[in-house]
Amino acid sequence: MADRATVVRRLRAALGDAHVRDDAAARLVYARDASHLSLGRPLCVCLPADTSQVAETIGLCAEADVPFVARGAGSGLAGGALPPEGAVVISMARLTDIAASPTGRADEILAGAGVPNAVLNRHLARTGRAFAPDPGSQEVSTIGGNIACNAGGPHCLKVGTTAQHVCEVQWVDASGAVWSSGRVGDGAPDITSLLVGGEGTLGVVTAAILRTVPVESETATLLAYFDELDAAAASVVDLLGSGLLPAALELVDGEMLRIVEDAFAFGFRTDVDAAMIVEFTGDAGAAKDDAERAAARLAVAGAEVIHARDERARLDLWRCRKQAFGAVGRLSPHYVSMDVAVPLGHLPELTRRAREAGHNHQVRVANLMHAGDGNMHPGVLFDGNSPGERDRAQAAADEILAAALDLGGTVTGEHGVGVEKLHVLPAQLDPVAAELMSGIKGIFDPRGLANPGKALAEGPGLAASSPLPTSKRFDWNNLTVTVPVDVKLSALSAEADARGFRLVCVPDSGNASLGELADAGALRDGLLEVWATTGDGRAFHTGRPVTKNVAGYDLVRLVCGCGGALADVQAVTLQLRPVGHVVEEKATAPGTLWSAPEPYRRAVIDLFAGGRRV
Amino acid sequence: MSRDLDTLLRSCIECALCLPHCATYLATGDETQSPRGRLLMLREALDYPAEIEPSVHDAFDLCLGCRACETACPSGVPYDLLDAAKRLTDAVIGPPDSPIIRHLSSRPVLKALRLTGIAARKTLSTTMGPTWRHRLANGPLSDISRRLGTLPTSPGDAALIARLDALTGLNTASGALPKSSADTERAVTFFTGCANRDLLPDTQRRLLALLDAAGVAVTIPDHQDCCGALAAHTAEPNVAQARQARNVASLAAAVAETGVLLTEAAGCGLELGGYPESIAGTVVDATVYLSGLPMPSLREVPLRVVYHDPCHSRHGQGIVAEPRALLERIPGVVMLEPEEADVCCGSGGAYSLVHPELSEVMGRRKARFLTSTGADVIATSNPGCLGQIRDAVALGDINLPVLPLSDLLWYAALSTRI
Repeated sequence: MADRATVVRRLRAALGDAHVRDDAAARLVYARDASHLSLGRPLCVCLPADTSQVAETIGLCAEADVPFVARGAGSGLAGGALPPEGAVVISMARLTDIAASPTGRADEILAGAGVPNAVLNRHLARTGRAFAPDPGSQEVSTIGGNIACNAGGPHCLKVGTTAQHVCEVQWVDASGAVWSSGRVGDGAPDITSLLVGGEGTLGVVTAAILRTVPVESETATLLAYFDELDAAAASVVDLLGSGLLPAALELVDGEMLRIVEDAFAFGFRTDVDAAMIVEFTGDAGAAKDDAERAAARLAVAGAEVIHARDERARLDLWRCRKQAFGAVGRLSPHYVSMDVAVPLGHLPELTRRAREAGHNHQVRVANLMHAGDGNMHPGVLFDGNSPGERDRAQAAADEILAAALDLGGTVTGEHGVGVEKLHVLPAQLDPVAAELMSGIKGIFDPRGLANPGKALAEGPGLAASSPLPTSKRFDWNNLTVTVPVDVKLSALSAEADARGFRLVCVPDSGNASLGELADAGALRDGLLEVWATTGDGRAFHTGRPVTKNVAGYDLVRLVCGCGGALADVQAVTLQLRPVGHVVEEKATAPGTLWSAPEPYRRAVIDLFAGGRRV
Repeated sequence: MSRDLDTLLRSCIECALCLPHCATYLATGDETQSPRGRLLMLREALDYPAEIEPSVHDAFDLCLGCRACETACPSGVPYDLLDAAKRLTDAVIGPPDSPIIRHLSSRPVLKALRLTGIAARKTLSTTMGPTWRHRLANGPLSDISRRLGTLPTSPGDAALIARLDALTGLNTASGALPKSSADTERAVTFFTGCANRDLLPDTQRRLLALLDAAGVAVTIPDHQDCCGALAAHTAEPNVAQARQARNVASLAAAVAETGVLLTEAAGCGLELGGYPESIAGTVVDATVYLSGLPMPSLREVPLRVVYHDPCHSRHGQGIVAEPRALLERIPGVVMLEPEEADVCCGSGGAYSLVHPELSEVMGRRKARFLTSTGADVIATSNPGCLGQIRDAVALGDINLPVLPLSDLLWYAALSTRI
């Protein structure tokens, strides 16, 4: 193993002096991200210019046995990009190219890992298209970071999270070799689904071919004020259950509303307990019609409903929403930014429990919610310089995490586990699923150099095994169905159709059984939970009945879509969508020139078969 | 002081939303060159002032002072922090020595620079063609040419008319504006500024003609000095204060009379805003003043215009809507918005002279976004931005005029030959 000075010297020789920094300034600044946490000072910070320089950097790290951490803009809230003491930080900030997709398809785009989400979207806007995920931090957060955390944002309610919009990525493995992740839908084990949400622990994504969606021509946006937060949360369940599918459905509680209004004076009411933003998109008057229907339902629920009168008023609403968290700093120097998600029907209950947690531990909790996804970002505010406050805030946060798990939800919907939620992750994973995840980490990063100590907890999964469902069960509050896979799609469809809903399945093949469809990858975009048995007979349950979940690796998508090569899928939970909602067929396309990840696919198959990895 | 700073620092929650607004971060991708990074270093420097290293000092020295981070920050972190940090690190490591800046705002130096710059451009552009800058860029004179290249200049009336006539297809009758016949009740005191007065004398004269045509009585007190901004930028508070004192003496009586102190340079406007209240309270930016004024009749000028906001107006004074509204009053003008409209062009007062290389990277980026809007003309209202952007556009071999906003307005107020 080379000494530290040698490593830095070799990195300098590879990247140039100006792009390898080991001075006091760089080691201080890159020891932090937006999480208020830190682990240690990095050995140095590298700013490679392209994928081959990233590969060279990682190769040198591997040779010297030095851990490395990929970083976008350091806007993560869970500490996922924090370097442990002595690690090499690899910044993606210079990988900012945007180009036509190498597949030649006009509905795809190739973006470097360092491209900020908003920059990509402004680029796409010129052609009337968009990359759908739009996290609140989209002006700064990068495509690489969005992929690492399977980012969502307000507008993924209708169109899905990052996992549904990545076709293929280019990534560098822990030894410095460059690979493709394989084209999603190619029938092989879905390595893309592992890298999306993998938080940089399986390798470093340097570029991605992303699916783009057309921007719909009309938008109608409502602002609804509620005197009671409970009533607002209940209205969310009611709206979606009525068959409306907004592009975004957000809740801001009274506490957060007052913070934002103090900061920016948008002119919002501050004498209410909650404000809801509901946005519909569509063509040919559909958005306006939906908004009218929603407004009527909200009025019945006792809300004061205001239509955004023009584009400016609409953008103000979103500016309010997206700057809200930053504004918290005006009140409180520190906060725990949380990211729990629960089945939609439990949203009112979780909302209540989050408030109670604040009262129980005498800390302020200000809440923002991607309510339509059951995803909540309570901010637990505290002043770390005031004795005992940090501990009280952490206790309140832990109480909220426990509540989410208790209600069948996840500890993280879109921020990632990072280091912040490691301590609660085992409680969400069943023992076999956790073991498989550790096995996957071992395959991709046998020496533990890629972003060590993140995303995956040490030790066994502690969640009780979820009993295998033996009959179908619709949850109309959550808009999901849990069902054994021997049931035919047509049998489910009739029942769903009677309530105005359908299953997300591409292509829509009524006569096939769910098992066949799962193996063929047809259910990928609507799959939330899986019960399965590995080739060597280990039964496991993975996923949660929530639309956003980045706790642990995505075994749900991994085991489906590869013809049963990894596991025998026995039951699934699927998402329901309103009947009128068009589910776009995914494009198949030839793979790129990047090398297919065959060794990794074989090793994963071997892992699930219980054999030793090759 | 450090206790206050500490309190202010606590309002930064490290959210990173400032990063995409910071020109030095965008140019380098380096977070030590970002506002959040600088605040982290300030925190450390306050705790361990003796351990401030050159790398930390550099990070503060390279801050443009554009204040875009202040506008972007949702948490309300004040720019004063970075200013204080600069002072703190200068105190430990010592301020950067820049004789060029020290003498820059003196009148003879500016005049000499203008003549040299014009002569150099004229000679080189005729003898070496439009690529002279590229050739120079690799030669032994590269540093000097970079610094000189960003000095603003303004064309004479005939040249300006010829350039714009060629773009618009208009046939302008003459450069004479109609004299106002209105019995005027509007009166202003005019602050000449150093760069505008000495580097852009034609533009200043045209603005005064425009004011006259709009029926505004203009008083220009004698013995005005540079506003002091350049000296303040380079940590020479004594020089800045002396300039302020001279200006107060020169301006006080006229300002008391007119109630308005008009300035055409964004940088001067911001600096004058820090003068004693009797002066500061009367300062009005020319674009703001003109936008509230009934204009002499403006002819139709078919141009697509992109406006570059000087940081000292957009971030320093919150002026965003007025210059755009003013240009839109010209019939036929279509306003375009560039990417990164709120990001500094890299001129940064004297920054382009002290840090020419980094400044050039920023200038090229800015020029790319401005030109890719498809505009026919780039307009701005600060001499530093004007020179920087004109230079950066030329470096990209693009033939696009970069003009003071008031020159466009003056052109629109002329009449067409029938």
